[in-house]
Amino acid sequence: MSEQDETLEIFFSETEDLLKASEESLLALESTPESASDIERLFRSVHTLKSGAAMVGFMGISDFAHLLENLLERLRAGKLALTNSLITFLLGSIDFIRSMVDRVSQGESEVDPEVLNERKDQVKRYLGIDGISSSEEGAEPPVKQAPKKSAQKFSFYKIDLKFGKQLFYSGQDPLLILLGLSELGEFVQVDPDLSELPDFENISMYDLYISWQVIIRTRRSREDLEDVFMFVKDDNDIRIEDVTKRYREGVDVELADKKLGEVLLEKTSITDEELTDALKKQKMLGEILVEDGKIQRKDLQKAVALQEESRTVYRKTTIRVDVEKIDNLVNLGEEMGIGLAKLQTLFEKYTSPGQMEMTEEMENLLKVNQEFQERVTRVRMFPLEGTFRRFQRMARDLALKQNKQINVILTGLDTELDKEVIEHCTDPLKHLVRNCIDHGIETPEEREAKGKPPTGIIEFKAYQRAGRIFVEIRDDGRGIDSAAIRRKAIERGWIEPDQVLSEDDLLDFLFKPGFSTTSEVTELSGRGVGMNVVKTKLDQIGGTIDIHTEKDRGTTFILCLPLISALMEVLRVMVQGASYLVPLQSVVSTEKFDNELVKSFGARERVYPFRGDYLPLVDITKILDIGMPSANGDTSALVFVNTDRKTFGIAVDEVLDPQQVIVKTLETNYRNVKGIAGATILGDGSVSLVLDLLGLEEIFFKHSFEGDEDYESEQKGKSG
Amino acid sequence: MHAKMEKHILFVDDSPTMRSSGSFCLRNAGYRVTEAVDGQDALQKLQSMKENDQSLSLIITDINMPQMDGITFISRVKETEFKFLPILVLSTEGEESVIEKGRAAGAAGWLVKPFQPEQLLWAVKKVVWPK
Repeated sequence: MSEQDETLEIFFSETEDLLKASEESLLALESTPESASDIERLFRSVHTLKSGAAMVGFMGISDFAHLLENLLERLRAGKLALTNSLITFLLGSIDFIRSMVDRVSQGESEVDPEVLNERKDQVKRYLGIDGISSSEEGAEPPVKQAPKKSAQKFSFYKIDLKFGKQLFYSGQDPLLILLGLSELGEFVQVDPDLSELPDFENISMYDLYISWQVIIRTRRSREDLEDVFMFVKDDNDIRIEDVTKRYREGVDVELADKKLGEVLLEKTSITDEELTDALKKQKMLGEILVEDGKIQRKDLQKAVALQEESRTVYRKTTIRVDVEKIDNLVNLGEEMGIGLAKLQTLFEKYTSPGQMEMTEEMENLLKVNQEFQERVTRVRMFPLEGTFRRFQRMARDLALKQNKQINVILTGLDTELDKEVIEHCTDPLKHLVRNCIDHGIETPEEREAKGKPPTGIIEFKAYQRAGRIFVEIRDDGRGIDSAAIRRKAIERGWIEPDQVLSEDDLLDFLFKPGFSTTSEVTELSGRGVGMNVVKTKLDQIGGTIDIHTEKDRGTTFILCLPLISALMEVLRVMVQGASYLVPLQSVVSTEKFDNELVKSFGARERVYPFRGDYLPLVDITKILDIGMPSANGDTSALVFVNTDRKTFGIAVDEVLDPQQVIVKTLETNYRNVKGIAGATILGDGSVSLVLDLLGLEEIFFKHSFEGDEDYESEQKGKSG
Repeated sequence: MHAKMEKHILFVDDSPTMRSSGSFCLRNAGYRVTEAVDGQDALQKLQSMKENDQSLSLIITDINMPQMDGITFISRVKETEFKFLPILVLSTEGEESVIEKGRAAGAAGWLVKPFQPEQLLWAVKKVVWPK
């Protein structure tokens, strides 16, 4: 008899004993229904029978016994009364189990499934609807899946094993767990942390003081790894982190940005104090310079003091705040400003004693409020560092993937930008970085052939100038081939083959929708794919983009972004009784209007002399199709603006004071209107539109940008 | 110490079927198995092992047993020199609280009945050093 048969024999004899014991208990309960010990014995018998049947694979018996066990559990808990009819039913159920056992002992199948279901339904009726929980009903024994040997790619996981001090008391062995882990992959790195280890005399041999950090390279899934810690994960601090990105190529790319001291702390057994001691021995730069007689000691002290001061200012505590809360403050400040301005006009309107003092106090309040608004707006500003670091990593990863070598330079990390602006320009920037790596930077071989160093340079640079933030992305790659752009533009029928165009005009085609498609990427170094998207995104926040490129010297993208998306310095002007706001940073000059100096071309074009040049005059009522054309009637002044591409004059009836306003886009409540950047509520409560000069310029000069098909068709419609 | 370094397991369960199938599977995998029918029996087996200087690598115990239940048994083991020995508790499906109680008493792991032979060996491997 094999040992397996022996197990079966044991099961049959045990089951017979258990069934007999169950009957005895039931009969005893008939005379003393309250006997807890008999109920207990009955319960245990059925419970044991259920497990045993499952172990030897008789699932029908096990299932039925399981259901019966639930019923007995309710009996044991006093939730069900033991009536004579229930005893009869239970005796019948025991007989049913016996009949199943008899059948299997003769090599037959346990039971007809229909009969089994019928029997089970009877038990369920006693259990009542609440007696069956879904987990109990038909619960399959959980079969542990053998770990799949999939052809997955390698992943790297960092696993922190911080075991409790008492681990040994639960019979666990950390080394055994590490061994189990090692079977799943290859350890790239195992760092024990001995910092908790006490002095020798204080060590208890039964306590665990060591924790580990393991980097493992494996094809297995995270679940497989977690499985190793099945028994220890609940009482110990086990953390698994996917660090595949960091360990690309099996090298820890994060080490590159770390200080040597930090790396040594991590990788060797030196302690923090030892490192600090060593660093102290290092001579300070200032000391060396003083010793060499290059600087005076007092100058050094002064510089150190200055730096200290600056650092104290810099080291401020920070808190995280929901942006919405800040936006609420901005809005409140704005409303307060409007209220105050209204009050001010009222003061001026109604003369009363003490008016002087009141007006003075009023002006004071207005100033305070303006400062308040500015400061709240500043809260929304973040340094670009985080964004840049992200791109640095992205550039690095992309380059590695394409076997290109790059060195990323970051400049102006502390340049601050409004959160919303940052969010809006992240996608465009990402796109540009990708372009730099994909198409700008050449392979090391190609670079060497051109006599360039094999490692390419990508520089991210941010700086503030004239109330705008500039972000530059520069590469020293192959540059953009303008001849190729020209060919493409001719192909597209945008220009005539013999048309003379400046380099800048050619580059502008890159932003035209439909300029290039993915299949044509390589021919033109790929620049142009999605560039119109980049431009559209930047337009939305009032930003612009410029390209400088030189063959084999590289390409620089220059993004010009507003400092704050909402706050704007504007010049208020009146046209046809309505007030408009011109972004002040673009205003070159305001001039008195002299009708005599206007020169006309054809029906619509008018030019006006300005600083030795003739500049076009723009009539916004015409362009925006509002009001009656002024026909110089009320025009008393011209506002000359420069959009970085063109300078032109806007004819206005009146120029009022410059002011700072918070611009709301029309898009949120209405829709985007070309030529209008947004609207604002002025101090007197009136609404004023903020002009979008780039948009105006595009409409007026029919610049070849996206959207002008719309404009042209509109124009045709009007003329017709 | 046995020259063969055979790993020795004490299997405690009141059900003969469970003991038989458990030991069968463990013996097949090359372990030496001693069976006990409940906590009290198991404590006696441990005592005699100690007297005969036998090694022991693991205890696998049921919880729901007459005489002495598994939880009491584990706490008693923790009072002896076998306290650092890993213990696996056998629970039945739907008895997750048993696992909790077992862990609180100092068990190293658990196994849910009914189990496949590979599940038993998988759990054993987690707490017993390979030969």
